[in-house]
Amino acid sequence: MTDPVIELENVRKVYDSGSTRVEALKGVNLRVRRGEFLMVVGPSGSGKSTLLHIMGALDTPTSGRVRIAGREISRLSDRELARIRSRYVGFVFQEFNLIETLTALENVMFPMTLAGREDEELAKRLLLKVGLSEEHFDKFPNQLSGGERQRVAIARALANDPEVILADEPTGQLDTRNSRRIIKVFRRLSDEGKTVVVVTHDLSLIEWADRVIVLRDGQIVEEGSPEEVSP
Amino acid sequence: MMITMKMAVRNIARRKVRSLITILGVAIGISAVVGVSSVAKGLQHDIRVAIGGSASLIVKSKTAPDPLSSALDQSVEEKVRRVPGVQRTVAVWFNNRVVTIGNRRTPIMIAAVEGGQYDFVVGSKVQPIRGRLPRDGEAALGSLVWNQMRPRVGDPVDLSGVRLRLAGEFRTSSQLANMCMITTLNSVKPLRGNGISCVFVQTRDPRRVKREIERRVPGVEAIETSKAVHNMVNSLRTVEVAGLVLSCIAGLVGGLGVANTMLMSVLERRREIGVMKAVGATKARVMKVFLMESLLISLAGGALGCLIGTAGTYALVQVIQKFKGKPITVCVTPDVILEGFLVAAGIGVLSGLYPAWKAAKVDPVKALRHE
Ligand SMILES: Nc1ncnc2c1ncn2[C@@H]1O[C@H](COP(=O)(O)OP(=O)(O)OP(=O)(O)O)[C@@H](O)[C@H]1O
Ligand SMILES: [Mg+2]
Repeated sequence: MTDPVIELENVRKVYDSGSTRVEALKGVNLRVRRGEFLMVVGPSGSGKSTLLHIMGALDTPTSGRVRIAGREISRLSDRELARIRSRYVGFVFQEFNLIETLTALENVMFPMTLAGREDEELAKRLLLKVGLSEEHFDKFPNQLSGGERQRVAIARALANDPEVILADEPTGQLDTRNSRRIIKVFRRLSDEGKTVVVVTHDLSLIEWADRVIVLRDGQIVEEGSPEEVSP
Repeated sequence: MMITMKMAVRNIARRKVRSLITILGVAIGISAVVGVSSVAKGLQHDIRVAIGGSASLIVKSKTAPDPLSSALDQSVEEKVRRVPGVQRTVAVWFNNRVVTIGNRRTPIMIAAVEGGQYDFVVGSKVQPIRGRLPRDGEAALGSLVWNQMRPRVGDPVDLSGVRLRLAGEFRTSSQLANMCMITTLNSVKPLRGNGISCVFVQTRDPRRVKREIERRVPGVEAIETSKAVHNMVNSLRTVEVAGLVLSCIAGLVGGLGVANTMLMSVLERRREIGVMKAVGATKARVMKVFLMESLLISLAGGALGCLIGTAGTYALVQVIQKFKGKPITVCVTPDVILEGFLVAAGIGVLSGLYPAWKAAKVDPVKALRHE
């Protein structure tokens, strides 16, 4: 239980689009511990999303080492990276990013399909677990409220029982009441043993985390418990 | 699998007008393929009937310039019959001789056909218009000679001492045959002895069997007959080539429509592609999702095209028959329909490949960034 779930060593990420060159991450060292609830905060453009994408094998660093589930990702093929995203991590996004042509239930089953093990009963249980009532299961995303959509997205992230949930501003499009509800879902998942990483710039949420990292200009400038980090 | 299928169907259903136009594009192409194929099949059918009903080779003596002046021993027929690929043989004896009917005498070409298989030798229907077609001991006159000699059915016919009974008058589409007298081979046995002129041969593969006969039977030459069959084979080629060209053009047009629609779909659904990748889709998987969609569109076009093609072809044939009064055979066989679907599937896969590859290449990080 001591080995880190995700380990970043001197990770740099440079976006080079010809004329402009942005250094989104400037040497980040980070270990995500098994079972912890980690929050990454920082101003807009500080590199939070970039960091999260790299942690979930959705993006690769320009330099530095990334180990996910003990495997160095720079050596992995498209198939193996896809496998990590399918089985080991679960992403949740600010815009919910549900597939519009699939119902709530089908959205949760989609990652199962990709992994080759569809289980409708499990998908239903996951939806109930994140607090979506059964009447919504067969609705399409555009028939659901923001809070409901984000619940579906969380259930989808849980579909293949991943080790880590990676959430990028999951409450960014929700009102305060719904934000609190959603963050409580993450807290409960963490209490049940899942590793949870949540990116946010809503500082009122950090009290729910075990550990907080403050990112500024692509660098970790502060790290500690919510109390330590709070201004 | 079920879910990706649902996605494809719903995406097609969601953009109704665009999908419908694309499907129609493919359908028009496929209906052209089906139409041309069924006409070609009909022609093929006609040719098979024509070849089956008449001789495709005539075996004559190598030294004779034509079958009419050829002379062979009747044993040749047996040898020809044993050549593989030969389905039927009919020996014929041609002779130009003075014929006496009543008190009229005139030189006529006599065609003595083995077993009275006149249709086979003439290559078209030999129609009795008076009396009947001759059996052993009988003869019949073509309509042209009949009009010239004006005999009566039952009159005695004298061929240098051989006496036959005049069975009737006949007519065929060949004017040459209408100037002949026909009888059976047995009827003229005293005149010809064991001699025949030539052997008419039926086969499905005239080219090969011709070579085979000339190799196995000494002193003979086999010539291919019926110009009509040749012409038909030629027109079949034309139809087939035209069909191929048409299918390619139709396929190209339909395929471009599908490719365009799929490219638009990929552009619009970049975020969705990013999501698929984020939840674990490989590049190959993303390609499959989009290929499935283009295949579905094309197959829908294929199904519609088969319907339009079949209905349209029959309708067109009705119209043409009304104006030309000439029956046209079209065969919408299962393999014509299968061909339509195969072309459609080909269109679906080929035109879907580039858009699917574009989709697979989408960078999920860029696609998922909020604008
Ligand atoms: N694909 C890209 N091309 C060019 N620059 C990029 C790209 N992605 C990110 N950046 C830049 O990298 C920096 C970090 O971006 P990132 O999205 O990680 O920030 P963030 O902390 O998530 O911001 P926000 O809170 O607004 O989501 C920004 O300056 C951004 O403009
Ligand atoms: Mg961000």
